[in-house]
Amino acid sequence: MSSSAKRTPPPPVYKARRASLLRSWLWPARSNLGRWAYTMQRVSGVGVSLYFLAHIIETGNVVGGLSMWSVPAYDIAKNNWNNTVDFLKNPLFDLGLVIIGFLLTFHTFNGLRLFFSEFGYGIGKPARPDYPYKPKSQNTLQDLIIWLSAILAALAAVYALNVLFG
Amino acid sequence: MEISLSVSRSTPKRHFEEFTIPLQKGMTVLDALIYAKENLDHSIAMRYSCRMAVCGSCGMKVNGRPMLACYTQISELKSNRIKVEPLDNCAIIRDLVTDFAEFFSHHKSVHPYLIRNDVKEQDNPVKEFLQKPEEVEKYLQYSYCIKCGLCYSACPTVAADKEFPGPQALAQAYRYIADSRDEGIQKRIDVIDTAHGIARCHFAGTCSSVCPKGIDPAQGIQLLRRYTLSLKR
Amino acid sequence: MFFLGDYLRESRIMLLHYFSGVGILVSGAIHLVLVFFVGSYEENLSFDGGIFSVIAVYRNFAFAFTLELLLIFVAFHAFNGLRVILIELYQGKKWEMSVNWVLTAIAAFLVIYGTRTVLLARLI
Repeated sequence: MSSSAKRTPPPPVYKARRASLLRSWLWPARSNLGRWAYTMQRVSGVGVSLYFLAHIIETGNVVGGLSMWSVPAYDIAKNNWNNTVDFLKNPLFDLGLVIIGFLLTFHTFNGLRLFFSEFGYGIGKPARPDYPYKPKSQNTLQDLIIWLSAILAALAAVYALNVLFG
Repeated sequence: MEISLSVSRSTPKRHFEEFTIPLQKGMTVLDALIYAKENLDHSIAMRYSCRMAVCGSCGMKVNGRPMLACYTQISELKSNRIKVEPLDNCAIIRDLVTDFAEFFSHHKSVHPYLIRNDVKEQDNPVKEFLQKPEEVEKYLQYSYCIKCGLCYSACPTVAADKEFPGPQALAQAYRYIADSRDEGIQKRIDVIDTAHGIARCHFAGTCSSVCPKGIDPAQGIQLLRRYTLSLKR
Repeated sequence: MFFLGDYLRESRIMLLHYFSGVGILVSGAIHLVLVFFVGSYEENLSFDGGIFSVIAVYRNFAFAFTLELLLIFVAFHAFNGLRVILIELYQGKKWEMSVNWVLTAIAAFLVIYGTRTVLLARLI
């Protein structure tokens, strides 16, 4: 947005290429692991954001919800909170929590990988390219962390299943 | 041995046309396309020139992945059915020919040339710029870019964001910023560090995995991002 | 916070994004430990009773402060992430401004509402 003054008008060809937008934007078919992680990071980020929104509204009930803006009486607050917990205590919401656990754990560990990569760590040093031209930034460590975050996410989902349903 | 080559055609409506090509040893996808154009249908439109991965004209999607047609052996695809489409993220002019105007305008926008504070000296040099081999290694691979547009068509951000310079332009910006002879870092960072600039790269790495010249744009962009994130500027 | 884009370079916003992520990692871990890994889950969800029940956590200053930090970090990180996705999907000055203002408004509401929860719950 500091760019707003320098923004170049879109070239005329743009309209024609927007047709293939969604296909090549989010769907990572026939792509490398990092691209799958990109899509997962987006989906999990949006998922957790929606959960965050619901969670703030839901925990607001501990002091009596939207309508109450002064300190509530102990009993009213307790009653409100217990109603909320009872309302949320059904398998559908619990399953949602399990999915959120999966997404959150994946987002955390993949996000850590991105944090270090974006500051230039763990992506190799530029060097003369030699056949067969394996890109240094797509190295075993990166792939390992992506798989690790997927596995940890699955474990988190299993743990959540155990707590909520076990 | 025969293979079936289905080529994306743009007229009158976008559709695929099947050709049966006799397979020869060492045949590349481009050879198969040339065979089809010579013997089966003269109206196939495609762009190619050097046939040896130097000019970067014949970028296209082969079996769903951006590749140089001249650099891809049919035997390495391990399939008898080959699907050839034009590159994503570019407007299609006809059949396999795509419009690179946007791509090149982004390339130009990052000042892809040496910038010196002393312009007079640059125009009338009195001696050569000295560089150590280690300093050359820092940017050498990025200078091998042939501007084939494969990374541009593979990048998920370019697919959605028309103002994002794309992996090629950003890697070129890094190529000149990492060059020890260059003094234009501030000028380039002003262009790059915008709402639709380098921050829109999320390290999907598709650009690096499709590059036919062994360049690693994803790595260059992350190293460039380190310059924009550093607080001392 | 995102209308600061006129004054803040994009890389500064993203720097805040990355470090708020690390902040969430720490404060969120504390939050999750308090709900899932100490005491029993049932008891931690109850209004009052155990030492890690809802009200008890709010009454403890350190825990409440962690929750407040988590709230601010997540509000910034989540809505900046949504902003990134939305301005990538469509470009234009008008669209960008509306995305920035609408998301800032929602984020600000959530921070205010969540802070209210923390402050009032401490007084119950």
